[in-house]
Amino acid sequence: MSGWMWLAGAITSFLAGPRSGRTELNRSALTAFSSIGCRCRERKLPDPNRPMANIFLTDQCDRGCKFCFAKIGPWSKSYPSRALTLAEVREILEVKAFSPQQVLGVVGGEPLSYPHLFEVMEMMKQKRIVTKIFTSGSCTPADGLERYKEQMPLNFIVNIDSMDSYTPERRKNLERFLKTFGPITCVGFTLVDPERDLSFLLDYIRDYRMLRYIRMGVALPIAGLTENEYIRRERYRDAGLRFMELARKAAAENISIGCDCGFVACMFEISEIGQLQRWGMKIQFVCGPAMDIGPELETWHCFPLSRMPRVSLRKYQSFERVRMALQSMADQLREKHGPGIFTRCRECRYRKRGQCSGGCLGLIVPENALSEVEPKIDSAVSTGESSCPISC
Amino acid sequence: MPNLMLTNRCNFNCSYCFGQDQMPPAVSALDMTRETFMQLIDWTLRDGSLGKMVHLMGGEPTLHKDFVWMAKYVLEQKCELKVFSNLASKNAPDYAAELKDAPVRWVVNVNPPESRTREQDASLKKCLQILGPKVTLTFNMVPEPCAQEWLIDLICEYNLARDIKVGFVLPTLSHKNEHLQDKDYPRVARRVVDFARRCESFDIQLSYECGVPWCAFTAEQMGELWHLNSTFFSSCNSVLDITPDGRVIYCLPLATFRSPHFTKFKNYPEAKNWFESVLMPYRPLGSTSQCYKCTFMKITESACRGGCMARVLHGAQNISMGDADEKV
Repeated sequence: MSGWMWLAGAITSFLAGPRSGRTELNRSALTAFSSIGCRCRERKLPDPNRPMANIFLTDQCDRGCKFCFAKIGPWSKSYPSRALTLAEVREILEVKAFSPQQVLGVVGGEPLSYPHLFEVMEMMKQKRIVTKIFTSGSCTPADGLERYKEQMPLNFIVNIDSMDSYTPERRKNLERFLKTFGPITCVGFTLVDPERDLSFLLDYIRDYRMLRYIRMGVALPIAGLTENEYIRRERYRDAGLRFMELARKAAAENISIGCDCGFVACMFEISEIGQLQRWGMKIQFVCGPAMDIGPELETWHCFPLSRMPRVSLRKYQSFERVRMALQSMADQLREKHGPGIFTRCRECRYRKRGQCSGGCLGLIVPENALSEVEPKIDSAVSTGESSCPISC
Repeated sequence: MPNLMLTNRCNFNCSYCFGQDQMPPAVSALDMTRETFMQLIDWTLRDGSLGKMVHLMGGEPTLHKDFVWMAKYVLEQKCELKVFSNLASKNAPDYAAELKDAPVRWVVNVNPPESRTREQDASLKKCLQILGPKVTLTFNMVPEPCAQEWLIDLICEYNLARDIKVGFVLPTLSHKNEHLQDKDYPRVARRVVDFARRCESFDIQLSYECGVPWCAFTAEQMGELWHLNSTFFSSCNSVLDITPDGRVIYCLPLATFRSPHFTKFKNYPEAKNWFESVLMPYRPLGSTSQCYKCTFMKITESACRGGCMARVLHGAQNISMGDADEKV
């Protein structure tokens, strides 16, 4: 092929972008990869797309997912169930370290059911905060949110299931949501059953022109509780195989996948890890504070460890210090009850090198151990950013 | 945090040097003045969002008579400092001694021992002795096979950082330097994996410079590199370079692409955004006839651009690139 023919083909391909999904691809690829940054001269750039924290607006959600680890954890015992007040949201956004262009997750419960959502959106808009809303997309009509699409950097992560699993009303809500927000929404899915074919996730992306990126999680337990459904460790390799199958199909459609926390390296063969990299996946099997912030500005490490002692953002006035405090407690638990979910984790080279944390502490920490830990900021290693692996 | 090119002079004459379009004899020898340097530091730090980090490079920065003054000036501004050097100049050991307790990272480009004169070798080793773990080695994979064990020997002998940055020699825009051709990549990739295996037993990690197309490695090789803790990642998202006379360039291989003066930009992010917007139309082209239809490149779009942009632009040379003095 001559140079000119190649150039002509390349330009044709580029111009054909929107039809071939190139426009969406740009967004998703940026999301998926900007977290890696340029390591050519600077190996550790801050990750501009990774939420530095998540605001837990409300615990209200009527979706009723059996695997949900969010609804019962933080609000048990001494912490009564309640939504954040607007004053508390404002207080969070006033923390010094929070500067424009940083990413903040909005989680629940179902954040779209939060009665003061628009006031929150206005505050985020004013502060130029990149906002990622985690929603089911099906619980409540998202009327009125459209205007923010153009007014601020906003995207959604929809935790989704196959259409036939929804009631007619929810289905209608979801369809409406995806028609409106599809191009700024990525698919989130929690893997509960390794036997299940996941191709339907690709259909959503195709049908609703969604971001070409799937955020995949494994269903995790809440440490000390047994209420929710989760994947047993003996099924992890099966889950890895299912993940590979989806990743292969996704790659064929120029869609990349990222794994949320809880994945471990030994779910995959080495050649599979290489293949996943070539399919655009950021390879990290690390556990770190997601840093969810609830009422009274109490923060917790993540939902599986939500019964661990909380750390007050009000007291520390610094996301970095809170992160270190939360990390220190997780470190104590891992040291005492870990290091990982398998016996072999102790000798595992990947764990020793920090390539894999050894899986979710929720699987290995008994309930009575959760209250034994306390924050020790000096002993924690600062990561300078969330080490929660997902960047979408 | 741009890379400030203190001088375009160098004490080596590497056939693969991708900075040669910016260095004598292609252009006149030039050293940055103190005045320009101070203006540039001010300009660099003007936007606080990038943190306070300054990189000094060359040519060979230790050939600049004011090198230590400049390094200290940066440190006085409470900035982190990184120096890209070969540490083989005559003055380098004295400079290293003077800065040995300062918070400076040294990224040291080394060629095989036979490429150094006795004096250069002595200077380098003296510096490594002084700086020890503050030094990270970087070297370039050339088309011809060459031994690499000497890198491991240097790290072990001088207790250097256990991390080696591997570059695949890049072309300049003119392609006049020695650089890898498409056919070389698979062979060089095999050499990298072999080297990573040897490094692993010494607990040494490899990381990678920019401009390597991801398809150079097979999935098995990528998996093995991950397994060896030398996970492959390469991109084209350069930290901008600034020449001794204050012109901003995207990177050394693209030195002749566009080079507006830094004063045309309010601050570093504005310059970076401008360059990215100028390059954006060329990004999807890739560097070979295979790139534009490569699924892999589409998925990893912002990471793999089909290799170095100098290859991409060389392939697209019939497209007008505008004038270097064009108004920004």
